[in-house]
Amino acid sequence: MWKYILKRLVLMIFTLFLVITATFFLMQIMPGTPFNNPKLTPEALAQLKTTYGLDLPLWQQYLNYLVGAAHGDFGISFQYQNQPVSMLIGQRLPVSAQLGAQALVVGVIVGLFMGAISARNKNNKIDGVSGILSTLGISVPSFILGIILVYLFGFKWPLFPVSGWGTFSQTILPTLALAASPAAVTTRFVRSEMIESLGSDYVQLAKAKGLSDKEIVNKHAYRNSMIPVLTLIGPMAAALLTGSTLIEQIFSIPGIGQQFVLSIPSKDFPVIMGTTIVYAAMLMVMILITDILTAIVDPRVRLQ
Amino acid sequence: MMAANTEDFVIVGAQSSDANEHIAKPALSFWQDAWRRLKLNKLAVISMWFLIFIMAFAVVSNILVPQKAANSFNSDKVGVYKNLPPNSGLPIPGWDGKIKAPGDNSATDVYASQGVPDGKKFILGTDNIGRSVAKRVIVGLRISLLVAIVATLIDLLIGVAYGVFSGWKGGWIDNVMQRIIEILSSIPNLIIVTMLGLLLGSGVLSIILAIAMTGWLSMARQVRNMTLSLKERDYVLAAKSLGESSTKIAIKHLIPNMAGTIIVQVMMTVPNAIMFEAVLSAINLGVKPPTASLGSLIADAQAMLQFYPYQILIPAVMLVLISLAFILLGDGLRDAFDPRASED
Amino acid sequence: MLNNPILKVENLHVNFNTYAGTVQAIRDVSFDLNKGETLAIVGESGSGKSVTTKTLMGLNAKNAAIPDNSRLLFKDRNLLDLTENEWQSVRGNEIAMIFQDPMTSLDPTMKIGMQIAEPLIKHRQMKKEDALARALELMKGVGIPNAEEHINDYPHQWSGGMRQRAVVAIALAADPEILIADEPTTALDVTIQAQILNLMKQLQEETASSIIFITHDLGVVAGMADRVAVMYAGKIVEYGTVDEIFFNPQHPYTWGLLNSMPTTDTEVGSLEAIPGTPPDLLEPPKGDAFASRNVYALAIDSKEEPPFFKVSDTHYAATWLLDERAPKVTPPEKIQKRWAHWQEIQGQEA
Ligand SMILES: Nc1ncnc2c1ncn2[C@@H]1O[C@H](COP(=O)(O)OP(=O)(O)O)[C@@H](O)[C@H]1O
Ligand SMILES: [Mg+2]
Repeated sequence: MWKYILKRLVLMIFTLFLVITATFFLMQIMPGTPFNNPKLTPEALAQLKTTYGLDLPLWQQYLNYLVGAAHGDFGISFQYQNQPVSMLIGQRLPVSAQLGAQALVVGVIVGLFMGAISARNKNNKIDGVSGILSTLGISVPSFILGIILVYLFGFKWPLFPVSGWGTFSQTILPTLALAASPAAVTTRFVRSEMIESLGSDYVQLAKAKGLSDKEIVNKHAYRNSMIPVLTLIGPMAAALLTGSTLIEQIFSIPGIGQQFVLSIPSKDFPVIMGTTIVYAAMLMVMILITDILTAIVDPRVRLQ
Repeated sequence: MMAANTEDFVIVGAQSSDANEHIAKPALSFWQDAWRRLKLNKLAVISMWFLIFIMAFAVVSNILVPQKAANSFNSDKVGVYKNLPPNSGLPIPGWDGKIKAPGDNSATDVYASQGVPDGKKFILGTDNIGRSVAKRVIVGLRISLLVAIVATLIDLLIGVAYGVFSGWKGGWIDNVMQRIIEILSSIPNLIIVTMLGLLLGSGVLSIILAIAMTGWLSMARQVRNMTLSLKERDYVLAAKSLGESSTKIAIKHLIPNMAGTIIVQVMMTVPNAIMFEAVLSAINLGVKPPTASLGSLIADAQAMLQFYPYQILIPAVMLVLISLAFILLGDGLRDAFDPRASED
Repeated sequence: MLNNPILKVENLHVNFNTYAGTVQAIRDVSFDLNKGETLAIVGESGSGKSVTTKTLMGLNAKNAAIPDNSRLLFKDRNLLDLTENEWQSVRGNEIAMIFQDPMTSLDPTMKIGMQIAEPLIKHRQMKKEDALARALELMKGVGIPNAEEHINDYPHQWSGGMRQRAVVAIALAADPEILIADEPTTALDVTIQAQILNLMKQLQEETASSIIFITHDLGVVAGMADRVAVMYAGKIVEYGTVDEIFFNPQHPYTWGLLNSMPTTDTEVGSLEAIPGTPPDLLEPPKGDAFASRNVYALAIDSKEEPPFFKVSDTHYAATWLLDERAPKVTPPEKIQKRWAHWQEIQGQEA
C-alpha cells in the first residue's frame, strides 16, 4: 500500500515536471507579451526584463523556474507588479477549494440519493422525474445554470446574494450551479449500477436466503453500487475546475478561476503558468485520493 | 379423448411442421435489431430528427443568412436599433416589442420610443449595436456546430487510431501509450484548451484544434480495451493466421465490431465540445468578433443580463437543446446496442 | 421408497408476458417430492427447468403469471397463496437454493463468513457472533480447509469450487427441508463437479433433506438421484426411478437424451445431440411438442397431445408409442442395449 502510494507520488511529480516544462516552453512561444507597450522607454523595458529575469539565457530561466516551482515560487505577476504569483494563488486557493468541495459534496450526496431512489422505483414516476432532471443536469453547462440562477434570484426574486464571497448565503447559488452536473452524473451512474446490482446473481441469492427487499438493498445493493462512484470523482473534479472558472466570474468570487480568466487577456504569463500547475497538482491529488479510497472500501481492488 | 383412427398410428417421422417453420423469426442483423430497439425510444427518435433538422438548417442557412448579414450594422443608427426587444408583430405579452424595465410599472414600446421606422420588426430583438439577434443566433449555431462536429471527428480519428494501435500491438508499446494517456488525463482539460487557445490565437480553426486535443482520450481508452478483447476472438485469430495485414484486420474486423461503442462515445463528445467552445468564448479565447458562436453570444449578452435577458435566452436555449438531443440520442443508442439494457 | 411427499406440484402453469406475446414456459407440470429423496429434473436448456425452480422459491420474474388452478402444496399450504412476507420465511429457511454460477452468486463486497451467517440471523434470530460461529462450522462441514483463517475472506480470494462450497453452506445454513440445486456444477471443472456432487450427497445423508436436482446432463444424474423427471418444452414427458429412466426409457426424447450422453462404453466421438431445436413457447405446437424432432413420430402426434401412459407404478411416459394401437418401434441400438440390461436386472429380481 505505502509502496504503491509512493510510486504514484513519484509518477505525479514526474507528470508535474512535464506540465511545468511544457507550460514554460509554451509560454516562450506565446505571441504577445505585456512588455510590447509602445509607451515603455527602452530603459524601463530593460528594467522590467531584469525584474522578471527575462534577460537571462533561456535554459537559466527554465532552471530558475523549475527550482522556484519546486519551492512553490512561481515568479512575479506581470499584471499586479511586485505581487508574487504564489501569494496571489495562496490567497485565492482556499476560496476555490471551498467552492469546489461544497459543490462536489452536495452533488455526490444528492446523486447517491436520487440514483438509489430512481433504481428502486425503476420505470415509474419518481424514476421519470429524476431521469428528466439528471438528463437536464448533464446537458445544461454550469455557467448557463449560473446565469439562470443569477437572473432568477438576483433580479427576479432577490433571495440570495449573487456576487462576492464571505458569507454562507453567498456560497449558495454558485454551489448549486456547480453541483448540478456532478449530481446528475452521479444519479445516472448510481441508477444504472444499482439496477445492474439488483438484477445480479448475488441479489438473487440474497432473495433466496429469504432477505426482504429492504435488507437486500441495505446490505448488498447499496455497497455494490456506491463503491464504483469513487471512480467518477476524478473526472468530476476536472469538470468542476472548468466550471468553477466561469462560475467564479459570473458570481464575482475571488477564487483562482476568476484570476485565471482575468490573466488571459492581459497575458499575465506567470499567473497563467502558476495556476496551470496548481490546477494540475490539485486534480492529480484528487485522483490519487480516490484511488486510495477505492482500495480501502472495495475488497477486490489491490493497490500495486 | 378424440376418437383416433388406426391411420393416426403410423410412423411419419420427424417433420418440420408448420409450427416449426414459425420459430424461424427473420434473423435480424445487429444493426437492424438496434434500429428496431431505437425506434421504440421516442425521446431518442425525436432527438435524432431534431438534430438532423438543425444540421440541415445550419447548412442551408449559409445561403439564407450569410456571415456578413449577421455581422454588419449601421453605425449611424445604433441608437435607433440597439437592444430592441423581440417583436412577433402579434399582441403576445413579452413578444410584442414592449419591455418592462426593472423598477418600471408598465411596459414601454421600445420600437416607438427609439424611433424605429414603422413595419420594421426583429423577431428575436437586436443586440447592443442593433444587429438582429435572430441572424446572429443562426450564424452562431452554424459556427458552434461546425466547431463541435469537426472537433469530434478529429477526436474520432485520433482516438480510434490510437486505441486500436495500442490495443493491437500490446506489450511495451501499449504500456507506454497507456501511460501517456494516464498523464494527459491527469491534466485538467481546461488547461490544455487554454494553453492551445493562447498558443494558436483566437479563430475557428484554433478552437477546433484546442477542443480536439482533449476529447480523444476517453475514446482511445475505450477503443483500446475493446481491441484487447476482440483480438482474441476466433474470427480475428483466423484472419491473422490467413496472413491478413493488421490494417486490414482493424478495418474489416475490429472497428465494425466496436462501432456501437464508438457511436455512443461520439454522441457524448459533441455536447462536450459545444460546451468547451462556450467556455473558451467566456474566457476570451473564443471566436474572433464580429463572428458569432453560441458561446460568444452568451458571453456578450451576459453583461446586460438584468436588462435584456432575451439576448442570452435564445443562444442558451439552443446550446442546451442541442446538448440535450445528443445526450438523449446517445442514451437511446447505447440501450439499442446493448440488448440487456432494454429488457422489460 | 416410502410414498411420503413433502411437496406436491399440481398442474403448474407459468406464463411470461413479453412484448412479443405470452411465453408458455411451464405447461401443466405435476410431480411429487418425497421426504429424503433426490429428484432430478433433466432436459435441454430452455425446457423450463429454471422457471420451475424459481417458481418453487417464489422468485419468478415480474412478468410471470401463474393461473389459479396451479398448486404447490408444501406442509398443508399452497405456496402460491403466500404473501411476500410469508415467502421470506420459507426461502432459505424451509426451501433453499443453490445457484449455477459460483463466480457471480456471492456478493463481492461482503465477507464470506457473513454471507453464510445471513440466513441464520434472518431465520434463527441468531446474534451476529453466534451466527458467525455457526457459519464457521458450516464452512468446515462443506470442506473448506483452514476455515478459521478464511471466514473473513472475500469471494474474489477463492476458487470457483471453493465458492460453490460456500454457496452450498449458505443453502444449508438454516437446515432447509428442501434443497433446490439448479445446475450446481455446470460452471465448474469436471473434477470439481464430482467433489461438489459428493459433498451434496454426503450432506443429504447427514441432514435427511429432500433435493430437487436440476441438470441438462444425464451423466451426473445416475449417482445422485432416486427418481428422474424428463422435461421438454415446459412439460414433463417421462418420469420414473433412476433405473427405470436409464434402462427402460420409453419416450423418444429420453432416448435422445440418453443417446447424447457419453458413457463408458461409447467413445466420445459418437455423441449425438438431438437434431433440431425445441419449439417456440410463444406458440407451442399442437399435439406432442417433440413430434417435429422425433423420427418415431406418429401421425397422431401432431394432432393430439399424448396422455401419460403407465409403465409401472412408479414410471410414466407421455408418448403415443405406448398406446396399444401404436406400432412397435425399434429404438436406437444403444437404447436396445439398455433395455436388454433392464431385462437382466428384472430377471435377477424376479
Ligand atoms: N422472464 C421471462 N420472460 C420471458 N420468457 C422467459 C422468462 N424466463 C424464462 N423464460 C422462457 O422460459 C423458457 C424456459 O426457460 P428456463 O426455465 O430458464 O430453461 P432451462 O430449462 O434452461 O432452465 C425459455 O424459453 C425462456 O426463454
Ligand atoms: Mg436453467
